[in-house]
Amino acid sequence: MWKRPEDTNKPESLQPHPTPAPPPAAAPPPPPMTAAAPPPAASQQPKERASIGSSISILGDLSGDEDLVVYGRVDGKVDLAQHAVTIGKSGRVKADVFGKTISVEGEVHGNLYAGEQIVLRKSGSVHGNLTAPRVTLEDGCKFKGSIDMDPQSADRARAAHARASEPKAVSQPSAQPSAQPSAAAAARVQ
Amino acid sequence: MSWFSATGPKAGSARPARSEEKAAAAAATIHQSLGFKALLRGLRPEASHSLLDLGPALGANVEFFNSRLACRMRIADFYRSYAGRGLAADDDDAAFGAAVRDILAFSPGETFDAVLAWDLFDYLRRPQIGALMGHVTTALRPGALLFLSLCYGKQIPAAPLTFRIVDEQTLRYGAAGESQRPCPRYKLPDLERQMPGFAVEASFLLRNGMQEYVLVYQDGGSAAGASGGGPA
Repeated sequence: MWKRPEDTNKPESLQPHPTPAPPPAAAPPPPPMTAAAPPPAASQQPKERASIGSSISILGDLSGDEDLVVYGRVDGKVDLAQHAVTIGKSGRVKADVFGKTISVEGEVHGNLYAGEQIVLRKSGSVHGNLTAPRVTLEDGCKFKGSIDMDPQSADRARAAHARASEPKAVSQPSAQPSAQPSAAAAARVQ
Repeated sequence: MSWFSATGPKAGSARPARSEEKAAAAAATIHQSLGFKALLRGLRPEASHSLLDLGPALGANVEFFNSRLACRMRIADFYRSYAGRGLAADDDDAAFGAAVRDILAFSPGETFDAVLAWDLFDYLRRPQIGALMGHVTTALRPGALLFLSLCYGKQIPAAPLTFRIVDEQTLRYGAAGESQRPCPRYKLPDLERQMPGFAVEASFLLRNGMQEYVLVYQDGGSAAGASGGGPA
Protein backbone atom coordinates (compact mmCIF):
# COMPACT_ATOMS: atom_id res chain seq x y z
CA MET A 1 0.00 0.00 0.00
CA TRP A 2 2.76 2.42 0.87
CA LYS A 3 5.81 1.78 -1.18
CA ARG A 4 5.59 -1.54 -2.85
CA PRO A 5 8.32 -1.72 -5.48
CA GLU A 6 5.90 -2.32 -8.34
CA ASP A 7 3.98 0.75 -7.40
CA THR A 8 6.94 3.02 -7.61
CA ASN A 9 8.20 2.12 -11.05
CA LYS A 10 7.92 5.39 -12.87
CA PRO A 11 10.06 5.58 -15.99
CA GLU A 12 11.16 9.11 -15.45
CA SER A 13 14.56 9.10 -13.91
CA LEU A 14 17.71 8.33 -15.78
CA GLN A 15 19.91 8.87 -12.79
CA PRO A 16 20.13 7.17 -9.47
CA HIS A 17 17.89 8.74 -6.97
CA PRO A 18 17.54 8.10 -3.31
CA THR A 19 14.29 7.11 -1.81
CA PRO A 20 12.89 10.24 -0.22
CA ALA A 21 13.73 10.34 3.43
CA PRO A 22 11.12 11.36 5.97
CA PRO A 23 11.29 14.97 7.00
CA PRO A 24 13.68 15.24 9.90
CA ALA A 25 12.18 16.00 13.27
CA ALA A 26 8.98 17.48 12.01
CA ALA A 27 6.99 17.50 15.22
CA PRO A 28 8.99 18.35 18.32
CA PRO A 29 11.76 20.86 18.25
CA PRO A 30 15.14 19.25 18.49
CA PRO A 31 16.63 19.14 21.94
CA PRO A 32 19.63 21.28 22.59
CA MET A 33 22.61 19.42 21.34
CA THR A 34 25.38 18.91 23.74
CA ALA A 35 27.59 17.14 21.32
CA ALA A 36 28.04 16.89 17.63
CA ALA A 37 25.39 14.79 16.02
CA PRO A 38 26.79 11.54 14.74
CA PRO A 39 26.90 11.20 11.00
CA PRO A 40 24.41 8.79 9.60
CA ALA A 41 25.79 5.33 9.47
CA ALA A 42 26.08 3.66 6.12
CA SER A 43 23.38 1.21 7.07
CA GLN A 44 21.04 4.07 7.85
CA GLN A 45 21.44 5.77 4.52
CA PRO A 46 18.35 5.77 2.39
CA LYS A 47 18.22 2.88 -0.03
CA GLU A 48 19.04 4.01 -3.52
CA ARG A 49 17.62 2.81 -6.75
CA ALA A 50 18.83 3.49 -10.23
CA SER A 51 16.69 3.39 -13.29
CA ILE A 52 17.44 3.08 -16.96
CA GLY A 53 14.97 5.14 -18.90
CA SER A 54 12.95 3.90 -21.81
CA SER A 55 15.06 5.74 -24.37
CA ILE A 56 18.33 4.29 -23.10
CA SER A 57 20.07 1.34 -24.70
CA ILE A 58 23.04 -0.26 -23.04
CA LEU A 59 25.31 -2.69 -24.79
CA GLY A 60 27.53 -4.28 -22.18
CA ASP A 61 27.56 -5.43 -18.60
CA LEU A 62 25.86 -3.72 -15.70
CA SER A 63 27.01 -4.05 -12.12
CA GLY A 64 26.59 -1.96 -9.03
CA ASP A 65 25.52 -1.67 -5.45
CA GLU A 66 21.93 -0.54 -5.49
CA ASP A 67 18.57 -1.57 -6.79
CA LEU A 68 17.87 -1.15 -10.48
CA VAL A 69 14.81 -0.62 -12.63
CA VAL A 70 15.17 -1.12 -16.38
CA TYR A 71 12.76 0.61 -18.72
CA GLY A 72 15.13 0.69 -21.65
CA ARG A 73 17.20 -1.91 -23.45
CA VAL A 74 20.11 -3.84 -22.06
CA ASP A 75 22.15 -6.28 -24.07
CA GLY A 76 24.82 -7.87 -21.95
CA LYS A 77 24.83 -9.00 -18.33
CA VAL A 78 23.11 -7.46 -15.33
CA ASP A 79 24.93 -8.28 -12.14
CA LEU A 80 23.31 -6.91 -9.00
CA ALA A 81 23.35 -10.09 -7.01
CA GLN A 82 22.65 -8.37 -3.69
CA HIS A 83 19.92 -6.07 -4.91
CA ALA A 84 16.49 -5.91 -6.41
CA VAL A 85 16.28 -5.82 -10.18
CA THR A 86 13.06 -4.83 -11.90
CA ILE A 87 12.48 -5.04 -15.61
CA GLY A 88 9.75 -2.50 -16.26
CA LYS A 89 6.99 -2.89 -18.80
CA SER A 90 8.96 -1.16 -21.50
CA GLY A 91 12.19 -2.90 -20.55
CA ARG A 92 13.82 -5.20 -23.07
CA VAL A 93 16.72 -7.17 -21.70
CA LYS A 94 18.81 -9.62 -23.63
CA ALA A 95 21.10 -10.75 -20.87
CA ASP A 96 21.63 -12.99 -17.93
CA VAL A 97 20.38 -11.21 -14.83
CA PHE A 98 21.69 -11.74 -11.30
CA GLY A 99 19.79 -10.21 -8.41
CA LYS A 100 18.58 -10.77 -4.93
CA THR A 101 15.04 -10.40 -6.16
CA ILE A 102 14.07 -10.05 -9.80
CA SER A 103 10.72 -8.79 -11.04
CA VAL A 104 9.89 -8.90 -14.73
CA GLU A 105 7.17 -6.80 -16.30
CA GLY A 106 8.82 -6.44 -19.70
CA GLU A 107 10.76 -8.85 -21.88
CA VAL A 108 13.84 -10.85 -21.04
CA HIS A 109 15.80 -13.17 -23.25
CA GLY A 110 18.31 -14.72 -20.92
CA ASN A 111 18.68 -16.61 -17.69
CA LEU A 112 17.61 -15.14 -14.36
CA TYR A 113 19.33 -15.99 -11.09
CA ALA A 114 17.95 -14.67 -7.82
CA GLY A 115 19.07 -15.37 -4.30
CA GLU A 116 15.57 -14.97 -2.94
CA GLN A 117 12.77 -14.67 -5.47
CA ILE A 118 11.83 -14.20 -9.09
CA VAL A 119 8.44 -12.77 -10.00
CA LEU A 120 7.05 -12.74 -13.53
CA ARG A 121 4.26 -10.19 -13.69
CA LYS A 122 1.32 -10.73 -15.98
CA SER A 123 2.82 -8.44 -18.57
CA GLY A 124 6.20 -10.12 -18.34
CA SER A 125 7.79 -12.38 -20.90
CA VAL A 126 10.86 -14.49 -20.30
CA HIS A 127 12.61 -16.82 -22.66
CA GLY A 128 15.28 -18.41 -20.54
CA ASN A 129 15.84 -20.28 -17.33
CA LEU A 130 14.88 -19.18 -13.84
CA THR A 131 16.92 -20.16 -10.80
CA ALA A 132 15.69 -19.04 -7.39
CA PRO A 133 14.42 -20.59 -4.19
CA ARG A 134 11.04 -19.08 -4.92
CA VAL A 135 9.48 -18.38 -8.29
CA THR A 136 6.12 -16.72 -8.82
CA LEU A 137 4.38 -16.60 -12.19
CA GLU A 138 1.37 -14.34 -12.46
CA ASP A 139 -1.41 -15.47 -14.73
CA GLY A 140 -0.93 -14.10 -18.19
CA CYS A 141 2.83 -14.02 -18.16
CA LYS A 142 4.73 -15.67 -20.98
CA PHE A 143 7.49 -18.01 -20.06
CA LYS A 144 9.44 -20.63 -21.89
CA GLY A 145 12.34 -22.29 -20.20
CA SER A 146 13.29 -24.09 -17.04
CA ILE A 147 12.51 -23.25 -13.45
CA ASP A 148 14.92 -24.48 -10.86
CA MET A 149 13.49 -23.99 -7.40
CA ASP A 150 15.96 -26.10 -5.52
CA PRO A 151 17.61 -23.71 -3.02
CA GLN A 152 20.86 -25.55 -3.45
CA SER A 153 20.75 -24.84 -7.15
CA ALA A 154 20.42 -21.15 -6.48
CA ASP A 155 23.36 -21.35 -4.12
CA ARG A 156 25.39 -23.18 -6.71
CA ALA A 157 24.49 -20.60 -9.32
CA ARG A 158 25.54 -17.81 -6.99
CA ALA A 159 28.79 -19.56 -6.16
CA ALA A 160 29.54 -20.22 -9.80
CA HIS A 161 28.77 -16.63 -10.60
CA ALA A 162 30.99 -15.41 -7.77
CA ARG A 163 33.85 -17.55 -9.01
CA ALA A 164 33.36 -16.26 -12.51
CA SER A 165 33.42 -12.71 -11.22
CA GLU A 166 36.51 -13.06 -9.07
CA PRO A 167 39.12 -12.36 -11.73
CA LYS A 168 37.43 -9.08 -12.52
CA ALA A 169 37.50 -7.97 -8.91
CA VAL A 170 41.24 -8.55 -8.61
CA SER A 171 42.50 -5.70 -10.67
CA GLN A 172 45.87 -4.03 -10.74
CA PRO A 173 45.96 -1.03 -8.45
CA SER A 174 46.05 2.04 -10.53
CA ALA A 175 48.89 4.43 -10.06
CA GLN A 176 46.64 7.27 -11.09
CA PRO A 177 43.46 7.40 -9.10
CA SER A 178 41.92 9.85 -11.47
CA ALA A 179 42.29 7.60 -14.47
CA GLN A 180 39.14 7.14 -16.41
CA PRO A 181 37.64 3.68 -16.47
CA SER A 182 38.67 1.82 -19.55
CA ALA A 183 35.49 -0.12 -19.99
CA ALA A 184 34.54 0.73 -23.49
CA ALA A 185 31.35 -1.19 -23.54
CA ALA A 186 30.62 -1.60 -19.89
CA ALA A 187 28.31 0.67 -18.02
CA ARG A 188 28.56 0.73 -14.29
CA VAL A 189 25.57 1.79 -12.31
CA GLN A 190 26.63 3.86 -9.37
CA MET B 1 -5.30 -31.28 -42.49
CA SER B 2 -3.47 -30.51 -39.35
CA TRP B 3 -4.98 -30.34 -35.95
CA PHE B 4 -2.80 -27.33 -35.50
CA SER B 5 -4.95 -24.53 -36.72
CA ALA B 6 -5.65 -21.42 -34.83
CA THR B 7 -9.36 -21.79 -34.86
CA GLY B 8 -9.84 -25.42 -35.73
CA PRO B 9 -12.40 -26.88 -38.04
CA LYS B 10 -15.95 -25.89 -37.58
CA ALA B 11 -18.27 -28.28 -35.91
CA GLY B 12 -19.75 -30.59 -38.46
CA SER B 13 -22.13 -32.44 -36.29
CA ALA B 14 -25.80 -32.38 -37.16
CA ARG B 15 -26.60 -31.94 -33.49
CA PRO B 16 -23.74 -29.97 -32.10
CA ALA B 17 -25.62 -28.35 -29.27
CA ARG B 18 -25.38 -31.19 -26.81
CA SER B 19 -21.72 -31.95 -27.43
CA GLU B 20 -20.88 -28.27 -27.31
CA GLU B 21 -22.67 -27.97 -24.05
CA LYS B 22 -20.73 -30.89 -22.72
CA ALA B 23 -17.45 -29.45 -23.92
CA ALA B 24 -18.32 -26.09 -22.43
CA ALA B 25 -19.18 -27.76 -19.17
CA ALA B 26 -15.88 -29.57 -19.19
CA ALA B 27 -14.07 -26.30 -19.63
CA ALA B 28 -13.55 -23.70 -16.93
CA THR B 29 -14.60 -25.99 -14.16
CA ILE B 30 -12.98 -27.88 -11.37
CA HIS B 31 -12.59 -31.60 -11.78
CA GLN B 32 -11.17 -34.38 -9.79
CA SER B 33 -8.04 -35.80 -11.34
CA LEU B 34 -7.24 -39.30 -10.31
CA GLY B 35 -4.55 -39.47 -12.94
CA PHE B 36 -2.71 -36.51 -11.51
CA LYS B 37 -2.97 -38.04 -8.08
CA ALA B 38 -1.47 -41.24 -9.45
CA LEU B 39 1.32 -39.27 -11.05
CA LEU B 40 2.19 -37.61 -7.75
CA ARG B 41 2.23 -40.96 -6.03
CA GLY B 42 5.00 -41.93 -8.39
CA LEU B 43 7.08 -38.88 -7.50
CA ARG B 44 8.64 -39.34 -4.12
CA PRO B 45 8.64 -36.05 -2.22
CA GLU B 46 12.03 -36.70 -0.68
CA ALA B 47 13.67 -37.05 -4.06
CA SER B 48 14.71 -34.32 -6.44
CA HIS B 49 12.76 -34.36 -9.65
CA SER B 50 12.95 -32.87 -13.07
CA LEU B 51 9.63 -32.23 -14.79
CA LEU B 52 8.84 -31.38 -18.38
CA ASP B 53 5.58 -29.47 -18.68
CA LEU B 54 4.39 -29.33 -22.27
CA GLY B 55 1.65 -26.91 -21.28
CA PRO B 56 1.84 -23.17 -20.68
CA ALA B 57 3.40 -21.51 -17.66
CA LEU B 58 0.88 -21.31 -14.84
CA GLY B 59 1.73 -19.82 -11.51
CA ALA B 60 -0.49 -22.18 -9.58
CA ASN B 61 1.30 -25.19 -10.98
CA VAL B 62 4.72 -23.79 -10.29
CA GLU B 63 3.65 -22.93 -6.76
CA PHE B 64 2.28 -26.40 -6.27
CA PHE B 65 5.42 -28.18 -7.32
CA ASN B 66 7.52 -25.62 -5.49
CA SER B 67 5.70 -26.39 -2.27
CA ARG B 68 5.69 -30.15 -2.65
CA LEU B 69 8.86 -31.14 -4.40
CA ALA B 70 12.37 -29.87 -4.70
CA CYS B 71 12.23 -29.97 -8.43
CA ARG B 72 13.34 -28.46 -11.66
CA MET B 73 10.57 -27.66 -14.12
CA ARG B 74 10.98 -27.09 -17.78
CA ILE B 75 7.98 -25.35 -19.27
CA ALA B 76 7.70 -25.81 -23.00
CA ASP B 77 4.35 -24.18 -23.77
CA PHE B 78 4.47 -26.41 -26.80
CA TYR B 79 1.16 -25.66 -28.48
CA ARG B 80 1.50 -21.89 -28.36
CA SER B 81 5.14 -22.10 -29.36
CA TYR B 82 4.27 -24.16 -32.39
CA ALA B 83 1.12 -22.30 -33.35
CA GLY B 84 2.99 -19.03 -32.96
CA ARG B 85 5.33 -20.00 -35.74
CA GLY B 86 2.60 -19.59 -38.28
CA LEU B 87 3.02 -23.12 -39.48
CA ALA B 88 -0.50 -23.97 -40.41
CA ALA B 89 -2.59 -26.72 -41.78
CA ASP B 90 -0.35 -28.01 -44.51
CA ASP B 91 2.71 -28.65 -42.40
CA ASP B 92 4.43 -31.80 -43.38
CA ASP B 93 5.74 -34.13 -40.74
CA ALA B 94 9.35 -33.21 -41.43
CA ALA B 95 8.61 -29.58 -40.67
CA PHE B 96 6.81 -30.60 -37.53
CA GLY B 97 9.76 -32.71 -36.43
CA ALA B 98 12.12 -29.82 -37.00
CA ALA B 99 9.86 -27.55 -34.98
CA VAL B 100 9.74 -30.07 -32.15
CA ARG B 101 13.51 -30.26 -32.01
CA ASP B 102 13.72 -26.49 -31.99
CA ILE B 103 11.03 -25.86 -29.39
CA LEU B 104 12.27 -28.67 -27.19
CA ALA B 105 15.98 -28.13 -27.61
CA PHE B 106 17.22 -30.05 -24.61
CA SER B 107 20.51 -29.13 -23.06
CA PRO B 108 23.21 -31.78 -23.08
CA GLY B 109 22.56 -34.13 -20.21
CA GLU B 110 19.14 -32.68 -19.47
CA THR B 111 16.80 -35.47 -18.41
CA PHE B 112 13.33 -35.68 -16.97
CA ASP B 113 11.52 -38.11 -14.76
CA ALA B 114 8.01 -36.84 -15.42
CA VAL B 115 6.22 -35.28 -18.38
CA LEU B 116 2.97 -33.34 -18.16
CA ALA B 117 1.28 -33.55 -21.54
CA TRP B 118 -2.19 -32.61 -20.30
CA ASP B 119 -4.58 -32.66 -23.32
CA LEU B 120 -1.98 -31.77 -25.95
CA PHE B 121 -2.31 -35.04 -27.84
CA ASP B 122 -5.91 -34.23 -28.77
CA TYR B 123 -4.46 -31.40 -30.87
CA LEU B 124 -1.90 -33.46 -32.74
CA ARG B 125 -2.18 -35.93 -35.54
CA ARG B 126 -0.90 -39.41 -34.89
CA PRO B 127 2.44 -38.92 -36.68
CA GLN B 128 2.91 -35.69 -34.80
CA ILE B 129 2.41 -37.47 -31.52
CA GLY B 130 5.03 -39.98 -32.59
CA ALA B 131 7.47 -37.28 -33.61
CA LEU B 132 6.95 -35.32 -30.41
CA MET B 133 7.32 -38.26 -28.08
CA GLY B 134 10.17 -39.69 -30.11
CA HIS B 135 12.08 -36.52 -29.33
CA VAL B 136 10.93 -36.31 -25.72
CA THR B 137 12.08 -39.84 -24.99
CA THR B 138 15.64 -38.87 -25.83
CA ALA B 139 15.61 -36.96 -22.55
CA LEU B 140 13.62 -39.35 -20.39
CA ARG B 141 15.07 -41.38 -17.59
CA PRO B 142 14.05 -45.01 -17.32
CA GLY B 143 10.90 -45.17 -15.27
CA ALA B 144 9.84 -41.65 -16.19
CA LEU B 145 6.12 -40.96 -15.94
CA LEU B 146 3.87 -39.37 -18.53
CA PHE B 147 0.56 -37.79 -17.59
CA LEU B 148 -1.99 -37.07 -20.30
CA SER B 149 -5.70 -36.60 -20.83
CA LEU B 150 -7.79 -37.59 -23.81
CA CYS B 151 -11.28 -36.35 -24.46
CA TYR B 152 -14.01 -38.71 -25.56
CA GLY B 153 -16.60 -36.11 -26.42
CA LYS B 154 -17.44 -35.12 -29.97
CA GLN B 155 -16.10 -31.63 -29.61
CA ILE B 156 -13.13 -30.12 -27.87
CA PRO B 157 -12.08 -26.49 -27.47
CA ALA B 158 -10.21 -25.10 -30.45
CA ALA B 159 -7.02 -24.86 -28.41
CA PRO B 160 -5.78 -26.95 -25.51
CA LEU B 161 -7.27 -26.31 -22.12
CA THR B 162 -5.23 -24.93 -19.29
CA PHE B 163 -5.02 -27.17 -16.26
CA ARG B 164 -4.41 -25.37 -13.00
CA ILE B 165 -3.53 -27.55 -10.08
CA VAL B 166 -5.87 -26.93 -7.17
CA ASP B 167 -4.59 -29.73 -5.00
CA GLU B 168 -3.10 -33.14 -5.46
CA GLN B 169 -6.27 -34.58 -6.94
CA THR B 170 -8.10 -31.56 -8.33
CA LEU B 171 -7.54 -29.55 -11.49
CA ARG B 172 -9.24 -26.41 -12.70
CA TYR B 173 -9.86 -26.48 -16.43
CA GLY B 174 -9.71 -23.27 -18.38
CA ALA B 175 -10.55 -22.63 -22.03
CA ALA B 176 -9.19 -19.77 -24.07
CA GLY B 177 -12.40 -19.27 -26.02
CA GLU B 178 -15.68 -20.78 -26.99
CA SER B 179 -14.79 -21.99 -30.48
CA GLN B 180 -14.53 -25.71 -30.87
CA ARG B 181 -13.24 -28.42 -33.14
CA PRO B 182 -14.00 -32.09 -33.59
CA CYS B 183 -12.35 -34.37 -31.11
CA PRO B 184 -10.04 -37.01 -32.62
CA ARG B 185 -11.17 -39.49 -29.97
CA TYR B 186 -7.92 -41.37 -29.81
CA LYS B 187 -7.86 -44.77 -28.22
CA LEU B 188 -5.03 -46.10 -26.17
CA PRO B 189 -3.73 -48.40 -28.92
CA ASP B 190 -3.40 -45.31 -31.15
CA LEU B 191 -1.02 -43.82 -28.65
CA GLU B 192 0.87 -46.97 -27.85
CA ARG B 193 1.75 -47.38 -31.51
CA GLN B 194 3.12 -43.86 -31.57
CA MET B 195 4.99 -44.13 -28.30
CA PRO B 196 7.02 -47.32 -28.17
CA GLY B 197 8.58 -47.89 -24.80
CA PHE B 198 5.64 -46.60 -22.79
CA ALA B 199 3.32 -48.80 -20.78
CA VAL B 200 0.14 -47.78 -19.06
CA GLU B 201 0.58 -47.47 -15.33
CA ALA B 202 -2.93 -46.25 -14.58
CA SER B 203 -5.97 -44.92 -16.42
CA PHE B 204 -9.09 -43.23 -15.18
CA LEU B 205 -12.28 -42.38 -17.00
CA LEU B 206 -13.71 -39.20 -15.55
CA ARG B 207 -17.30 -38.08 -15.50
CA ASN B 208 -16.54 -35.09 -17.66
CA GLY B 209 -15.66 -37.26 -20.63
CA MET B 210 -11.92 -37.13 -20.14
CA GLN B 211 -9.76 -40.17 -19.76
CA GLU B 212 -6.53 -39.67 -17.87
CA TYR B 213 -3.49 -41.85 -18.29
CA VAL B 214 -0.27 -42.26 -16.43
CA LEU B 215 2.27 -44.10 -18.51
CA VAL B 216 5.71 -45.22 -17.52
CA TYR B 217 8.68 -45.11 -19.84
CA GLN B 218 10.36 -48.47 -19.72
CA ASP B 219 12.67 -48.37 -22.68
CA GLY B 220 15.59 -46.93 -20.80
CA GLY B 221 18.28 -48.68 -22.83
CA SER B 222 17.30 -47.26 -26.18
CA ALA B 223 16.58 -43.87 -24.63
CA ALA B 224 20.06 -43.65 -23.21
CA GLY B 225 21.48 -44.63 -26.56
CA ALA B 226 19.38 -42.16 -28.45
CA SER B 227 20.11 -39.21 -26.25
CA GLY B 228 23.79 -39.25 -26.97
CA GLY B 229 24.24 -36.04 -25.08
CA GLY B 230 25.74 -36.78 -21.75
CA PRO B 231 27.09 -34.14 -19.47
CA ALA B 232 30.09 -32.45 -20.88
